[in-house]
Amino acid sequence: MIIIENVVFAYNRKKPLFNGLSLRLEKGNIYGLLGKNGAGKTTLLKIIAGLVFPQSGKCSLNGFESKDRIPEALEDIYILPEEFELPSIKILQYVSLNAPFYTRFDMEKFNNLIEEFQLDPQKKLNQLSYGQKKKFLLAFGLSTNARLMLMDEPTNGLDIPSKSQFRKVIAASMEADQIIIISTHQVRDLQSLIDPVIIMEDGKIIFNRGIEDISHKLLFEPQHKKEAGEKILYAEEVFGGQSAVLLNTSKRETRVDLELLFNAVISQPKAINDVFENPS
Amino acid sequence: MENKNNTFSLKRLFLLGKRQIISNYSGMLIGFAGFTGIFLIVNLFTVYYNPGAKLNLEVPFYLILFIVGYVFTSIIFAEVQSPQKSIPFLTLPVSNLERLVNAWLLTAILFPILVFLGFALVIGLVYLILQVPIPRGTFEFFWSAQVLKAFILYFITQSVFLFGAMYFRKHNFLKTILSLFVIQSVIGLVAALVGYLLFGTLNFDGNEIVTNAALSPGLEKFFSETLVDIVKFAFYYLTVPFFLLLTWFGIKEREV
Repeated sequence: MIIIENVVFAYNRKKPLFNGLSLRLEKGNIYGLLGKNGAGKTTLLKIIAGLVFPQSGKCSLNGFESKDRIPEALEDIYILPEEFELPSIKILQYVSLNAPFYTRFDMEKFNNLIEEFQLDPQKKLNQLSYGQKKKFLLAFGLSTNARLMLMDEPTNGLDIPSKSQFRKVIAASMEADQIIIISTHQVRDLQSLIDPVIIMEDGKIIFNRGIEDISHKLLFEPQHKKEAGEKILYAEEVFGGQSAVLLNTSKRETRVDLELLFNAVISQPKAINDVFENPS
Repeated sequence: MENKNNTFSLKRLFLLGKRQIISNYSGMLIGFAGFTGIFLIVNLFTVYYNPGAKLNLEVPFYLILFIVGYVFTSIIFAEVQSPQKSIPFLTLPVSNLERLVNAWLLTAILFPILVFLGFALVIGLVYLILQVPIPRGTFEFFWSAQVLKAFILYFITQSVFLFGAMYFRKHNFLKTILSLFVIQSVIGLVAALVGYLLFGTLNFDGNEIVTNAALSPGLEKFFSETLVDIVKFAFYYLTVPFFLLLTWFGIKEREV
């Protein structure tokens, strides 16, 4: 479990990015961390991984404070950054040098993932494309069996088949004691994977709900035709009509449209959150 | 469940050293081969045209030990300087002490040993290639008190560059040199000011200044002996632990 308590963090002393941020993340979930550029998603991932330190407050993972960066805690954290640089050594050499640090590293799982991603283990890492490097890092990260996986824009740079491979691999690898946090703008790529959804704006968490809860309370209509008596919470013009988020007053459930939800929460945070907090 | 030592593990230290050397081995190998090659060619010509002469090893030895050693020390934390490389480095399951000891062992211990072996290899190769007997006394230089003193001096001073390697974010070698120059100038100025206030002159010449100042015997002993001993003790025994401690704090507090 990750507990973030009253975290204050500032790149610029005059304008703190996080001013008392608190959050609890439970195991067995794939959290989707959404937000506009500069909302604080990557910084939050870095605080959780112990790569930047809060000025006050604390962030702990399974009882260890992230900023202490102690080996036992680091064995349980794997971060897949958006930008990375890999040494000019072969895939297998990288694994033989780095895997021994992770006592639960599963070589069989790694080999299966490498095969799934169609990567040649004898190839040098600097000869791989950006997308292939990302797939390699993902395979390595999943094979460490770290209980916390942090991913920053994991589908950026992946081709269409790789995106579905990514979803398949993550879903298949997910363990009950794991937490995966995916920070992304590519919500459509990860629509089927993410649950719960966390939306950040200006360093604050403005929405944090599970998919089941969302689909019970909200209706998503990609081609909506307005009817009398319904309560539209958010609507946007699309080609040929209107996409809308409505209050779910019926027992009907629709597929959660993350992009529409994100836009709705960003433009009407109070109205959307009121639906969950005051069901009547 | 296995009880993990989160402070120091020899196994993790070995793995970290292996990872660092092999991941960056191409650069290190090219550097080592380049220096050895140039030095070999120069000495081949020297012995070829003057077979009986002893090789001039002192200048290149000191240059490589100190200049290359300081530069190598300054780049030992290169992974932390690059935002792309620092994430895997800082999240690697090793302790801050292991990161420090690894960098120190590579730069303060392994590097001088490699320099020593590199020189021995070049000398051996030069005479082997030219089929000339090795003149007596060729290796004497390496066993001299002068070389031992150089190794000790390198061992002490490189800890300053190790700290610079962690503390500065770019151009670590040059920034460390510049900082040393600035600190030395400030210390020199303060010492001159204190000296002037105490002795009324800026013409410092050995112990004479202390003798001429007609100080009490206790103060004279303090300035001419005790103070010198304190400075020597601090230099020989406190420099390394002090800068290693500062470097450890640098690693501990390092953010991406």
